Amino acid sequence: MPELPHAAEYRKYLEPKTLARISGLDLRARLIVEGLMTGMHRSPYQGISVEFAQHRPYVAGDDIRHVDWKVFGRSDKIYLKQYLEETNLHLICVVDASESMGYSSIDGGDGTQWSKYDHATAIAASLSYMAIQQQDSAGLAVFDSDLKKYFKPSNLPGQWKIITHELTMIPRLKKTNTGKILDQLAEKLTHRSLIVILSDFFDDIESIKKGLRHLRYKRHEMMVFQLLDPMEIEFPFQDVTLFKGMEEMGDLLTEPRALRQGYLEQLSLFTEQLKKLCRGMNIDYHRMNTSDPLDVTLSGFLATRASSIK
Amino acid sequence: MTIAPLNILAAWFVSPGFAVAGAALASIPIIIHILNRRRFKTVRWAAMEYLLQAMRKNRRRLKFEQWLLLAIRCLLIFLMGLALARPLGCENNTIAALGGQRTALHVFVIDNSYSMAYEPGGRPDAKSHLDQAKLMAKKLIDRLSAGNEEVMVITASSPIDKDKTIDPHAATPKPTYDLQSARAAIDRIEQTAAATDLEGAFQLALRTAKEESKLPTKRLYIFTDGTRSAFEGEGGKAVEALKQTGPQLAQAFGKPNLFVLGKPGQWNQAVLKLDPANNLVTTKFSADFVTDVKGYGAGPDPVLQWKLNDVPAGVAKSLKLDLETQPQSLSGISIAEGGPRVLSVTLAGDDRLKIDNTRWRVVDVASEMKVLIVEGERGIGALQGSGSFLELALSPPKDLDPETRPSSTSSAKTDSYVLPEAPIGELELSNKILTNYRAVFLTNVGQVNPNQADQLKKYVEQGGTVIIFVGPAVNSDNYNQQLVPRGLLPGRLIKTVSTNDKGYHFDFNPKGDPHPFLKEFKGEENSGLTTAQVWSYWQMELPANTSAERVLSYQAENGKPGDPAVTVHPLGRGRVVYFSTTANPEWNGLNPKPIFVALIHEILAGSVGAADRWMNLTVGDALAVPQSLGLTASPTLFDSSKNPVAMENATDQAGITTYHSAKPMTHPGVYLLNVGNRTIPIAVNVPSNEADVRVIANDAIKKALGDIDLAMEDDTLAIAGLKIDSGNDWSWAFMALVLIFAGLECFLAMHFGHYKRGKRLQATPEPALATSN
Repeated sequence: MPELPHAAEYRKYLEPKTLARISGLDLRARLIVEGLMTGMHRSPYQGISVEFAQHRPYVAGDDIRHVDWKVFGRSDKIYLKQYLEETNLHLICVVDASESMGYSSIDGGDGTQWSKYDHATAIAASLSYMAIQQQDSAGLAVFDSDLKKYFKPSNLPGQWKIITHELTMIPRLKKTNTGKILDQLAEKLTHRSLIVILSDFFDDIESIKKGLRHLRYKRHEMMVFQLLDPMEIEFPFQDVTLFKGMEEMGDLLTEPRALRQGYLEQLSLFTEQLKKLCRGMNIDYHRMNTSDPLDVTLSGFLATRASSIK
Repeated sequence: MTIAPLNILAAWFVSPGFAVAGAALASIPIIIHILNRRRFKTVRWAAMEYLLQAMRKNRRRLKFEQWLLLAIRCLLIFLMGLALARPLGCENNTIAALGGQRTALHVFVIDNSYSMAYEPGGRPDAKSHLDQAKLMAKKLIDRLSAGNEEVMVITASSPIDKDKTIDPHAATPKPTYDLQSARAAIDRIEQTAAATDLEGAFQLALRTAKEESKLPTKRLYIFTDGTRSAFEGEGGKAVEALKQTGPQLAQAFGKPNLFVLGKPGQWNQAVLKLDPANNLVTTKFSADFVTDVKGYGAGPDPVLQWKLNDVPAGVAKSLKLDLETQPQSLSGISIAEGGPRVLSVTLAGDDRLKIDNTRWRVVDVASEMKVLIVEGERGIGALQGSGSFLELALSPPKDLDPETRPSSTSSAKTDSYVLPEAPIGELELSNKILTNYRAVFLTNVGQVNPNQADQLKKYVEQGGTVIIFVGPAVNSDNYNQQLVPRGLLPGRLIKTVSTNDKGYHFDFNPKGDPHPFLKEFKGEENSGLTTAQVWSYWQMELPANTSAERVLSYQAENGKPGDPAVTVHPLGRGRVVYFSTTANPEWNGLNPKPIFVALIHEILAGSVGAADRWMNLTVGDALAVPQSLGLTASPTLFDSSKNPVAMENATDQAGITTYHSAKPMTHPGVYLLNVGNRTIPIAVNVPSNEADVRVIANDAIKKALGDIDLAMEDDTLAIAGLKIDSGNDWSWAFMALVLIFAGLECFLAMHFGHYKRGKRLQATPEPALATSN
């Protein structure tokens, strides 16, 4: 196993551009998690519990409800209280491997790209790693138009290797069919689980709604990560461009400057619908820019989890 | 009638090329649009659904925006082309500078002939008509748009300073849009003493209009006193020329504005002419002088005063002047000494145009007149030469017996002012400088060689007189070949006509109306002309269109008109007199009789060129000093104000140097020419054809200009109908449209998002990242 970088340099390794140059997903995930945990004073297992584990310095994104005000009063420094995790979690990362997830505008240099799929797999691997390290079970579902792979949650040490291997191997060629996949998944899951869905959700909202409802019906906890490339968010194209649609969406030759406003409105409308849908089902929704560092994402995840457990 | 498209454009635009270019370049935005559609980037795109939805939703709007912007851009370029092309009607815009064109041409024709010096009174800012014309022209120029409209200023007096580089009428060398320089040019216009030359000014105006043919608007402003002399003149060619030029003016300038500055009822009194009554004034006889004075319009009676050498001559008398006033004369003036004398006539009165109230005349009083006699037949004894009797007749001795007198009279005492040199043979003629003689007599000269013929011709053309007596020695073929073609004989010599019976008689009728040369013989029954006999003469065939006058003819016979006996005809500035018989008694019975002396003297006095012609000039003439003057120093000339006038000299191929004034005379008066050993007065007078200052009716002016449509104005600048407006400025309108469309294009392009942003994009509002519901 390669030696990990020093703690002080970790944060820069969490930048997507940096991660893009690291070929192995397992290494990526460990970098992410170790980087994240470096700020936690090597206490990866401190979750949401009643048994105090340690203090750690406050970092941006931390929930201020965990600030130890007594320490602050004595030392003028902001520390968070951390507790030992006591849950037995079944984490299932559902990763969209459709063609649209392969879109990438982030150049990592040396011919490497950082796609939405890369972002999704990095998150999935990191979360799985954290879960397994906490003795929780981690599973994986990879889909495009069909459910390509499904691994039941397991806390065996080899599980994480299986997950990272599968995430690396899955090709991205087909259209998305999110609703159908979520339906299939709902039928497969027997235990209540924490389902983390990583997708751009470029699909029919009604179909997505149906799938999410089905999972929710089965009383699963869910977190939705909508991954968007910065180009998709900003649409900064200037010159006349031929847009060749992925997932058999056809082509469009247009002057993007004139269409930008309309496009952004449509995208915003969709994300609002998705967000509203999630809110209606009490599902955590996160829209993610694939150019943002992953620790921010994971901090947000942990904070959300903490708040939901409380 | 069909008009070619380009002609239509030319009729609508000043620079149609810009309009065509604008139309052509309007396609550029379309081409750019098409090219842009062909040059595109390809991007694989995931969020296609939303792009397609946006496209579906905005397709019509986008299309509309694109077409709108494209149309505006095309229109922008087209309008720019139109603005630069300057649609007709533009008179005042700054596009002129961009287009390299000016908007309008304004031609000001200002009459500065001497009649414009008339001072009508009642105008506080302008004394004379010319002052008023300059004032009005400058005020009109003030109304023009500086830098955009060009002005040409033309004067309308007969050109005096004939500069070869520019038209002498041009006050501005060429059209200028520097209005200040145009005003300055008007200020520089001087009152001349020359006659009106509207035709010359109009021709320059037409040339200017032709050179500036691209300008849509051309206006002509004519400032004149509207007098009879300006528009009706002396009739003939000048009036005809104006009639033909008028329509051309109307074609070039539309409706010219004509400002008549003359006032109804203005009047003028002028001395038009002053001459000796006879051709020759001598110390021998008293002389009479005649002057022509006229009154144009009703004015008070002036006083006429004659002066000789600035000393009053005769009694001043009051005259009632009008158009019918008969010539006034001064009679019996004896001048004791020969040489140039200055005679003048002045009208003293309350005249508003003083410049023509005095006229001067330099009279070269002959105290001696050298003549040359060329004999074809030389005599050994007294009176044997063919010119001996002629010499005697020209200078009859007072006391010598004709039989014992010497062969020449040159040293004899005589009362005659005529001084014939000793007769010479025909071969000596070539050695003589003929200009030293007032007249040259050829007497029975058999042949004249071509050089001699040329010499004689040149002499006559310069003002000399040749009197040809024929005789038996004359070779008619030689005369017909050498003299007739050179104009030294009025017709071909046919044959000699002789009689052994009683001689031929002249058809002189003392009671009739004789030739002016013979007016002294009028009424003289016993003059001898009627009884004189001629036994032989050369018959001459006078052409039908000859300019020769018969002084005397032979009596008609058998109903046929008589042959010419004595003729005179002009050649250049001189005259040639032909006598059909001999100068001695060989062919006639004249010579022994006193009538021959009288006849010769009268014909000589009548035919010799006035030696003072070069001393009497009109404004605009240059002074040319004759070679015969015998200069002892380079001549110097001073005008009537004692200011020096530049003289120049020229040397011909024969090495003879002649002097002339560098410039024509510009002001009337008595100039003084100093030739070293003496001073010669030179009279310079105003032209006589400008004196009629009566204003003619507007209709008459229009008629004089070929009945064209004129905007007639008076001497005020109310000018209600005068349009120097700039209200039709279509270029401005088009330029304003260009600016409006440019602004609209910018606004719409930004509003529609059809403009290129910088690399840094405006942040797009989006939901906060990593936020949960």
